[in-house]
Amino acid sequence: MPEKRRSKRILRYLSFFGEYDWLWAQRTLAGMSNDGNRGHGFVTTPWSLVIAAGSLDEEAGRKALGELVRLYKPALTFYLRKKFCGDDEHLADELFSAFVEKILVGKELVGKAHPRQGHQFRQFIMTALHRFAITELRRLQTLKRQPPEGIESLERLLEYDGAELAIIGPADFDVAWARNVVAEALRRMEDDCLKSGRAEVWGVFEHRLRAPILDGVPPMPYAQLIQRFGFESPAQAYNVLGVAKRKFEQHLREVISGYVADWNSVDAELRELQVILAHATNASQ
Amino acid sequence: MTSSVYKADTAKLAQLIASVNGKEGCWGPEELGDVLRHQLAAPLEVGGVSTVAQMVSISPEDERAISEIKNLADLFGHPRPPLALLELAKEFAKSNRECPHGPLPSEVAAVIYFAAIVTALLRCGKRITSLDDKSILAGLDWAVGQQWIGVQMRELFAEGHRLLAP
Repeated sequence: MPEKRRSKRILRYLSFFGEYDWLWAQRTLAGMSNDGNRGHGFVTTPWSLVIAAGSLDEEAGRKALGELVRLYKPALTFYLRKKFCGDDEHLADELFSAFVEKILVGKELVGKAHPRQGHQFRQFIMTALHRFAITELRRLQTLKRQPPEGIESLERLLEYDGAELAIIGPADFDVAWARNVVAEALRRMEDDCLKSGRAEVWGVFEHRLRAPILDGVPPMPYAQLIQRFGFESPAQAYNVLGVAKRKFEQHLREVISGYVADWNSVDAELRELQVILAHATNASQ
Repeated sequence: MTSSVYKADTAKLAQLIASVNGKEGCWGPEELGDVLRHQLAAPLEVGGVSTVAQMVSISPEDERAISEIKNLADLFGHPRPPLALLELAKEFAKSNRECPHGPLPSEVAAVIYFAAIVTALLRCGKRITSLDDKSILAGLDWAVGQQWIGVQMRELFAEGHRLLAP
């Protein structure tokens, strides 16, 4: 056998130094395929159901849209709070609940819900929410309920309605939406890692990426990391870091796939959310 | 954890998303010593002497050595290390040096690379590289200049330097 070929065979066989640890690689691959990396075989999503609602059972469509909207409660109530409620969280929550209720019992919204790309969906939801809020506040006013403090601009909003929409909020709403997507992806990733017995994947992500980037804390030192998670070699630690990054990306994509129609739209939306965040001014929620 | 997302600087959120395709989270220069120590202590999964014997012709002495060598630190500290294992160690380090996205920082891979070459020269009297003495010495000089390489590597490189220095 030629020397080089023989060396390669030895390398392969010996699982040398971890880099050639095929068992580990297989486990890693198995982990990915077992815990939700569905590659590009796009699975049926709630939003797919909503899109198809014209031909599907309307109740199923309403439920799907209702679930989706509940997922984005932080972004939607942020918009309501800032736009209509003078930062009154309680009123924003009330309006949001009423909005969800309207989706669940009415046919109007789900019947219009056909946008297929991320920005179209965001625009659709924001417009629907905005119009709903105006209608609802007008109804409250008609019922002679005292408008809560902080909505002094109600009359003006009622007067200008859609025209006002163009100059207030879309960018802020997009930022709130992007935050919501990231938060949901992180929540799902942590849950997924802990439920699948891969706490080390979440741990490495949390201590080397999430907390250092978002909270500004120093990354957990390498020596502490390997002690805490029992890594046998740098290759193993490196592999887990790689798995963690892929898993976060996978969850980001899955969250986005809940409101877009296909994988091309997922890619486009992920890029767009990144751009939205990178260019946003830094108002926090 | 989620609440920090709603308070975080938006540029940092964009950075978190971008981190999946970057080097973020990887080991920094201040951690090279820890990574090297970890690599030197990482178990060599050689799969038993008979397995190795099927792949390369080894002497009974090598067989004994293989059974004694549990990690790279053992390999570089062994009085008669099997040359085949040193060659494997060198190739492993070389492949890591040449791969920017490999699991080892290139500096750590370089230390292991020169350690394998010097150990082969010192303990086996064999040259396992096409590098000439001058190039090896330059590598050793670079390595001993690194604060993080530890006592074992420092002594090994000093010994190698004495052997090769004109």
